[in-house]
Amino acid sequence: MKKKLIWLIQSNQITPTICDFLKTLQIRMEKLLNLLFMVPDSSCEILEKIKDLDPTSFKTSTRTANTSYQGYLAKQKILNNTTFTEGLSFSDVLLLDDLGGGNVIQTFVEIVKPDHTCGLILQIPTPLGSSETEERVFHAAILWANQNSIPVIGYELLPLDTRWTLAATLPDGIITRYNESYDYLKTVLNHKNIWLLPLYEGSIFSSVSTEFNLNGAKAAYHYRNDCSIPAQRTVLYVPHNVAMIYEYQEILKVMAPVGDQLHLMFGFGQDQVRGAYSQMEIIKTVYHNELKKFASYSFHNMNNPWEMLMAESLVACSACFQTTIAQEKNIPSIIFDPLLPPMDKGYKKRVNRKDNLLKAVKQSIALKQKKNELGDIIMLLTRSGAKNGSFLEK
Amino acid sequence: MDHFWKNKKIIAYIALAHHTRFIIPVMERLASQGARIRYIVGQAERSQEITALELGLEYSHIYDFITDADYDEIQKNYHLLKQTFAHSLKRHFLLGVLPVTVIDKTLYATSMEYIGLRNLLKKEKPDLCFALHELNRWGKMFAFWAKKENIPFITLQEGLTYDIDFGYSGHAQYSTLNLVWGERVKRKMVGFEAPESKILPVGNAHLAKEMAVQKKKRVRETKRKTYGISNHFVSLLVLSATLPNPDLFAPIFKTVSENTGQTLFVKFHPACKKPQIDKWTKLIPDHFKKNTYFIHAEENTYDLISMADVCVLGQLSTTGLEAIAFGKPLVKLNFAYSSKAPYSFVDQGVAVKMSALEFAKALTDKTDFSKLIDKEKTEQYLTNELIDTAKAIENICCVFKKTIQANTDTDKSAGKSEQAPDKKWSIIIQVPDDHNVFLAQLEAVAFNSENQGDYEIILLEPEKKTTEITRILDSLEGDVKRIVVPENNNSIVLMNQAGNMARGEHLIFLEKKLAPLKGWLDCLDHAFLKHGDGKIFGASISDQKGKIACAGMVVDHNHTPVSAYRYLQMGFPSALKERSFQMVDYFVAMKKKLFCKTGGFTPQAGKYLFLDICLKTIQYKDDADAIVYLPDLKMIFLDHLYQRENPDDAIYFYGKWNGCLWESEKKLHEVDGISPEDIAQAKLTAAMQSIGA
Repeated sequence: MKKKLIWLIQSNQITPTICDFLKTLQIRMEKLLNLLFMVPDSSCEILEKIKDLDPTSFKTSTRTANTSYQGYLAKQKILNNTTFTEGLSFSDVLLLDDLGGGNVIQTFVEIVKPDHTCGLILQIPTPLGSSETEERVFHAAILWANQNSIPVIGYELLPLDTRWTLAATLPDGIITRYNESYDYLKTVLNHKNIWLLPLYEGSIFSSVSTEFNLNGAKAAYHYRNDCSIPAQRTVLYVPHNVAMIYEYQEILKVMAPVGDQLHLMFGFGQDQVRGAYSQMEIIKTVYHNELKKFASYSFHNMNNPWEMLMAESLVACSACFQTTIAQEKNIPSIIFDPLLPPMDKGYKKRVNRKDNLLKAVKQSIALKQKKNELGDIIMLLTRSGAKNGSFLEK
Repeated sequence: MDHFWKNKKIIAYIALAHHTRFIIPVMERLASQGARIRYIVGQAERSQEITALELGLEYSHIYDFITDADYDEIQKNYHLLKQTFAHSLKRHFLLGVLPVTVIDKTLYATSMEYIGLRNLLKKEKPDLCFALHELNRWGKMFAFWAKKENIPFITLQEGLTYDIDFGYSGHAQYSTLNLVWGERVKRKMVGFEAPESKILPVGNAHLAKEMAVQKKKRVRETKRKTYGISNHFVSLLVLSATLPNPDLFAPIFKTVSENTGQTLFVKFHPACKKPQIDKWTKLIPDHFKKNTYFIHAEENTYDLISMADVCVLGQLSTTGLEAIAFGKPLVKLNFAYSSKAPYSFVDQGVAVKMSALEFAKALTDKTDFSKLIDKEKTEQYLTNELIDTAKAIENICCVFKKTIQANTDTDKSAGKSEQAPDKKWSIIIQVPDDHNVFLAQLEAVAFNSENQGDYEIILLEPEKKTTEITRILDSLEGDVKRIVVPENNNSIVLMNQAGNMARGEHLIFLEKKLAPLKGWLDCLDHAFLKHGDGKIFGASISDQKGKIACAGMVVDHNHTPVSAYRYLQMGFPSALKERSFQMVDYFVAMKKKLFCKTGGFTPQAGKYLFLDICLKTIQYKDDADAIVYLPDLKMIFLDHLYQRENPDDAIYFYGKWNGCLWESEKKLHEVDGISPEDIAQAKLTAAMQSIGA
C-alpha cells in the first residue's frame, strides 16, 4: 500500500501558480506516494479554487474555559521553575496577562487519520503576515500530528529570517525558500531537519508567483530527468553569444577544474546561425575539448527564460538580456570580464580575474549542496519508522 | 512648602489611557512640589506611546535603554522562553490562548524589556517607581528590577476587583507596597492570598478630581443644553464588552421613544468593537431609537454620568461605583443580576433590582429613583470601597514620602551602652494586659532559668494597667527593673532604653505573652560558645495550641516574611534543625555589645522590630549566617498574640528592606526535601490533631 502525505492548505496560502505546482508535484510523486490535500472548514472558500488537487475538507472546532483555576494551575505548572537570567520566573511575568490567567482556548482539527499517513506538511505562520484563524489551525494540526505520531514539516512562504522563530521551532522539519532563512534557522533551531529548496521550487511558494516560476519548475523537472542530472550536481546557465566565442571558451577553461560537478545550460537565440553552423554546433565543435571536462550540458532557447530557474547561477562574459532576467529573478549572475573593474551588487557580480571566477563558481557549488528538491524531502518521510521527526535527521 | 520632594526622581510606567487617570494626578502633585517625573512606556500593539502623546507627557521607551552590548543576553532570554513555550505548544494547548506568532512577538519583546528595564533603573537610579499594577509583564519586570536595586516600587488598584481572579494573588508580589481604594478590596485581595501587610487602603485618587472638574465646568448643565435635553429625565444605560440580546431592553426603548421628556444614553464599553455595536443597534427597530443616543467613545463616561438622572446597569460593570460616588441612583436590571455574583451592588443595598418592564414603568410614572436607595447603606458602602476620595492623593504622597525615608534611613537609634555588664543575662519582657498570662510568664522565666547563670529581669510596663497587673508588679523582688511606657509612646524606644541600661552581658528580648521552657538559658549558653558573639539567636516558638509559631523566618512567594513550617506540629522534623535564617521573630538573644553596635531596634519598625534587627545585624556584620535558629531553645505563647496593624510599620519595613526580601520558603523546602504534598499532608495532620480527630 502506498504511503500518504497530508498537505494542509489554508486561505492565505494558495495562489493559482502554487495550485498548479502542487498538482504537478502530486502527479510527479504519485508512483511513490499519495499526496492528500486537506483544507480546514475555516478556509472552505478555497476548495473550488484548488479542486484540481482533489482536496478534502475537515472540521475545526474550538472550546474555551474562562477563569478556570485548573487552567491557571496547569499553565503555572508548565512554566514552573523556568526563569530569566537573575531569577524572575516566566510564570510571574506572563501568566496573568499575556497568557490569559485562567482562560484557555483549545482548537481541534477533526482529521480522520488516513491509513499509512507518513507526514504532514503545512505552512509556517509568520508574525507579520498570518491570520489568527490560520495560526490556530496550524497549532491544532501540529498537536494532532504529534498525538498521532506523524512527523510535521513546515514550509516557508513569508520570510523566516526574522527575530521571531517560535513557529518555526514547532514542526519537526523546515523547508526554506531563501538561503538567508536556511542559514539563519540553522543557527537557531536545535535540529538538523532544515532544507533549502532550489530556486525553481522556492520561487513557486510566493504570494506573487507567476507562470514564469511555474514553467521554470516544470522545465527543471523535465531537464533534470531528460539530462539525468543528479540531485547534487550544480547547474550553471551560460548565455552564449557568438560574438564572444573566445571569451566563453576562456570561461569554460577556468571552470574546468570543477567541471565534473557541473551541468551547463547553454542558452541562446534559436535564430542565431552563423554561416552553416547553428549555435549548438558551434558550441559542440569549438568547445569540444573543454566540454569533456563537464559532467553534462544542455541547450536552451533564450526565449524560454524561465528555464534559467533551474540554474544555481548564471555565468556570462558580459551583462546581457539573460543577466537582466536573472537579476530580476534573484538568480546570481557572475560576469567575467578582464577588461572591466570588479563589481558586486548582490545578485549581480562582475569579476575580472580568473581565480575570482573560479572562486565564485565554487561558491555556487557549495550553495547547491544546501538545496533539496521537495520530492526528495517528501521521500524522507516515507522511510519506515519516521516518527515525530526523529527519522528525518540526515 | 515641603522641600522633601525637590529633585526627587520618580519613574512612572504608563500603559493605557485609562491607567493614567490614577497615576497622573499623583505625579502632577509631586511635580508641583519639585519632584522630577519621568514617564516610560513599553512595547505593545495597543500603542502605549499614544497614551503619553495624547496627554502631552514626555516619555522614554523601555527600548531606549537597550544597547548593542545587551544583544547576547536578550537572545539568551528569548531562547530560554522559546524553548519552554515550544516544548509546551508541541504537546498541548494550554499556552495557546494567543496565536503562536503573537506569543512569539510577546516573548521577544519581553526579553528586550527585561533588559531594558534593568538598564533603565541602573542608569536613572530613581528614588521611587510607580505603576498601576504588576499584573502585566511590564509592571512585573519593572517591580522585579526595582526590588533588585532596592528602589521603592509602589502599585495601585485598577477597577473594582469584583470578579474572581487569580491575579489578586500577584498584586503585590514584588511591589514594596500596593495602595488600594478601600478595605473591601484589600480583603478581596487577601482572600486570594495577596500579602495583607503590603496592601494599604488610601482612597481613590481620581474620583474626587473628576467630580470637581464636572462641577467646575458645569458639565451637566452644558451638555444637557447641547443635546437639547435640559428639562428631560435622562437615563444612562451602561453595557459591557459582550452585548446581551437587545430585545431584553425593548420596554425601555419603547417607553423612551414614546415620551418626549425622556432621553436615554446607551454607553458601550471601550473594548466593544464597532462592527459589534453596529450589528447590535441594527437589531433595534428604528422607531424605538427615538430619544436614544448610542455612545461608544464619543462622550466621556463621567460626562454621561453627570448628565444622567439615573444609571442603569445592563451587565456587570464597574461604572456602578462611579455612579454611586457621583450621587446617582443606580438600577440593576434583573437579567444582569446574579445572586451568586461575588460582588453585587443590589446585595449591598446600593442599587435597585428591576426588570426592564418595571424600569420602563418607573420612567413613565416619573419615579424619584433616589428615594428607592438606602442612603445610609450607600454612605457605608462608599466608605468601605473608597475610604477617602478628597485626600487620597495626599495619602498616596504621604506613603511615598515615608517609603523613601525608610528606604534611605541610616539612623542608629540605640546609641551607647550606659551600663557595664555584671550579670550574665538580661531578660527584657513586655508586660501583657492579662494578669494570668503575665503571672504564668514570670513563673516560667523563674522556674526555667534556675541554675543557668545569674540574670536580671527588665519589665516594660504600660502606663495604664489593671490592678492585678500592678499588684503582681509590686510584689516582685530581686533583680527586677521596671520601665514605664507612657501611653502613646513608642515602646520600641523604651526597649532600646532597656537594652542600654541592662546589666547583662547577653540581652534577651521576649515578645508579649511568650514563656520560655526548661533549659532555655543553657541552650543559649551553648549557642554563644559554639557560634561566638556576632550572632543573634532565635527560638523554636509554639503557639498556645502546640503548633509552630516561629521556627526561623523565611520569605514567601509574595516576598513577605513568614515562619518556616508555620502551623505544623512542633515536632515536624524539618523544624528541628539548627541552622541560620535571614530572620527570626518574637524572640532574640544577642550580646549587648552587638545590640548597641547595630543600633538596637528601629523605633519605626513597629511590629517588625525583631525582623528588622535581624536584617540590620546581617548588614552590619556582613554575615549572611548571622541569625541562628536554635530548635532546642523552646518557647511557647501563653495566649494568642494580637498585633495592632499600623500601616506605618509596613511602610517602614518594606520601604527599608524590600530589596532584601526574596522568596526563600520554597528553597527551604527543597533543601529539606519536602514536597508541596508533604506540606499539605503535615498541615492536615496538624489540623486534625487540633480538632482532636
